[in-house]
Parts: sequence; structure tokens; C-alpha cells
Amino acid sequence: MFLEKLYFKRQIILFLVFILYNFEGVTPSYSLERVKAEDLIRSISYEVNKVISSGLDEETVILELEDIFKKYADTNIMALTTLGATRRIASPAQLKEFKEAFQIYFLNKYARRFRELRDGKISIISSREVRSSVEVKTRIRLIDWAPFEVIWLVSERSGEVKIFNIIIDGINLLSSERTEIGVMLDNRKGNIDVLSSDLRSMN
Amino acid sequence: MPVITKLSTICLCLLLMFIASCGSAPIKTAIVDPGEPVNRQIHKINRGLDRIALRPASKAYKIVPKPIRAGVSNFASNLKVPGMIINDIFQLKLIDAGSNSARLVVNTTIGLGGIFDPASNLGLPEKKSDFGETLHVWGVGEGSYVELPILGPSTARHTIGRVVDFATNPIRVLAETPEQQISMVAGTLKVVDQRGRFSELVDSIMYDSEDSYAQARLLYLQQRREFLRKGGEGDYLDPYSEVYDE
Repeated sequence: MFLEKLYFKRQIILFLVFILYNFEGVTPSYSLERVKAEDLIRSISYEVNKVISSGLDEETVILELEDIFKKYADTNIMALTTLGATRRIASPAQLKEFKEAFQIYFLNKYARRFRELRDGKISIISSREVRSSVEVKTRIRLIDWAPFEVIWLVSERSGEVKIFNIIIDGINLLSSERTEIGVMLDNRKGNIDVLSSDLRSMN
Repeated sequence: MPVITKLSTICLCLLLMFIASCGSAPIKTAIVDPGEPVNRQIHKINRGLDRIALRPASKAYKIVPKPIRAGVSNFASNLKVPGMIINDIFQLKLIDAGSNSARLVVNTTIGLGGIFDPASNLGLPEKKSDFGETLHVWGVGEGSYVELPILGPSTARHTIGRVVDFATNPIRVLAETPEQQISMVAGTLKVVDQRGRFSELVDSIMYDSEDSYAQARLLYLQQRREFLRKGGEGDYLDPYSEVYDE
């Protein structure tokens, strides 16, 4: 009788432990991936802040910002995914050329945007694992504007921990570029060589 | 008579609970745009309007000192809060309704009629809601994408929501004519002010694009769906699995 009761109790306790263990928020499961991703965002915001508050002239600041993004962003995977189906019919040489051109175009277009964050404070709000990547949610406070959210998507699948997408106040840069590159390819009748050379010369 | 009002209140509450329990509509990921040719024509006009009116206006408005611009925008935002509270209740988001009500009281009194925004610092940020969202929560689907003249990108559902919000806005319905005009002016100035926000980013995505229509559509749908998702997991594409796992 007593043993039976004890056994029943033990089952209940096990059941509760099982529920607690599977209940998000109760288990402080801070995975290594999340730690690495958050560290990456911390380093990038530290370096960006250092550059934009350095007092250097505009062109130098933009070049420095481009270097930072070259180091922390996986523009190769961005380039490949924006190509869509064309990726499969292009030759390795064409792909290599496109990846380089895309990097120039992408950094040119977006790195300078971070110059607008002068006097901005970036703080990490939360992070979570989404499929094979980590989503780090940050809030940026600027003096003259209401704070806004920037989500950084980080993955280690390239072999290094790198950013592969940034979502600024709901504006998903990778999705926008997918649309843009798709349109550009269409406008050039699918010719990837023309696209690459145009991307290189865009300014 | 009081019995009847009581009864009708109860009926309304029951109806709301029933509707809310139906569950919200799924958030689409695809773009449905059957009216694209017409939308593109409207987009062309809107782009022209932005170029000759809104963009120059937002640049000119920057001459006004920041605190004044902020005050005008705060005032305009505060006037929208009553409408948001109603929609919070429609959506049975009673915590948001409470927080927005507290915000309205604080900003209207301590914030001097809404010119200042002490509520945000007191942990009462604006919990945006609109009738388009209410329809979503009630299970109405997004509908087709449309680009509205002057107002810009929208969906069928969001357009109906805007009409209802406009028609039922308590400030507009209850206020006298001069107050109505003040609220309209403040609202317009807020739009002009916001055009300045992210202006370079939005410009570089939209105006430097080879297809600003497609970019505007994407941008709007992303932001609107993100708003409706309320922090839920996004439909981000995973480029690694797309490229590596094929």
C-alpha cells in the first residue's frame, strides 16, 4: 500500500519534471549557438560604434563599415540565394564573379546606412534558435526617434559564425535583395555576366 | 430601458467572445496581387506625388526644431489611442486595452494633452492596434494586395479596416469641427515627419530599385505581417538549407 503510493508519487514527480523540462522559459537552456551569436552582435555593434564616433571623414567611415560587414556577414550565401534558379545553370566561374560583384553592391548599399546610427545605443533583447540559425533581437535607441527593432540572423553553417540576414523594423534585407536581383536578372534576360558587371559598377 | 442596454451589452460581449474564439486567420507568406496592372499605374502616380510633395515636405519640415516636431507627432499619436483601445477590446486583448487606457490618461493629463509622452517612460508604450488587425483576429483573411491612391500599399482587409477606423474614430465622431481639423493637421504632419525616418534606407531600397513597385509591395507585406505576428516566429527563408541541401 505504502509502496504503491510512493510509486504513484514518484510518477507524478517525474511527470512534473518532464513538463517543466519541456516548458520553454523554465529551463534556462542557453545553447552555445545563442552565446556565439550574441557575442557576434556585441562585437559588431562595438566596432560599428567605434567607427561612427571616431570623427573620421565620411568616406573613411564608410570604407571601415564595409570592412566590418565583410568580416561579419556571409555575403556568399546571400548572393547564392538571391540568384534563385539561375544558381543551378551558372558555371562555377560565373558564380564566383557574381558573389564578388554582389558583395561590392551589397556593402555599398547597406554598410553606409549604419552611419545613421550615430549616438545610437544598441541593446540585445532576446535570442532564440530558429531552425539551423539563431535570431538575435536587438533594440536601437536613437536620440530623435522612437526606438526600433533590428533582428540579426546568425548561422554557423558556412563554417564560421556569420550574419546572413538583417531585419530592420520589419524590413527584411535578404528578401528585398532576392526580389531586386530577380528583377535585375529578368531585365537582363537572365544574363548573369551582364548582371555581375552592372552590380560592380553601381554606385 | 436600462435593462435593454444591459442586455444588449451582454449580447455584444457574448458575440465578441464567440467571434474571438473562432481563431485568427493564418498569416500568408505568398504575394497575391491579381490587380497588379492597375496597382502599378497607381504606384506610378503615388511615386510622383511622393517625389513632388511628401519627400520635399519631409525635408522642409526638418527645419522645425526637433522638440516641436516630436510634440506634434506625440499629439497626433495620442488622438489615435481611443480607437486602439476599442480595437483591443474587439480583439479581447484586455491587457493591451488597459495599458493603452492608462497611457491615454497619463499622456492627456501629465503629458499636457498628449504633447509629451511620459507614459512610454513609465513602461506604457503604445500597443498599436487597428480594425484591420481586429478583422485578422476574427479570422478574416488578408485578401489581395492593393496600392491605394495617396495612402499607398495595403491589402483588401487592411483597406476595410482603415475605412472603419476612420469612420468610427471617437475623436472624429465626438469632437467639434476645429478640434477635428487640428487632429487632421497633426496627423498629416506626423506622416510627413515619419517620411523622414529611415528615409535613406527606404529610398535606397525603393528609389534605387529597378522595380520600386515590387519593393514597395514586399516592404509593406513584410511589415504588416510582422505586426500581425506579434513576435511569433517569422517566415524567414533559410538560405543555407536552400543552397546546401538541394
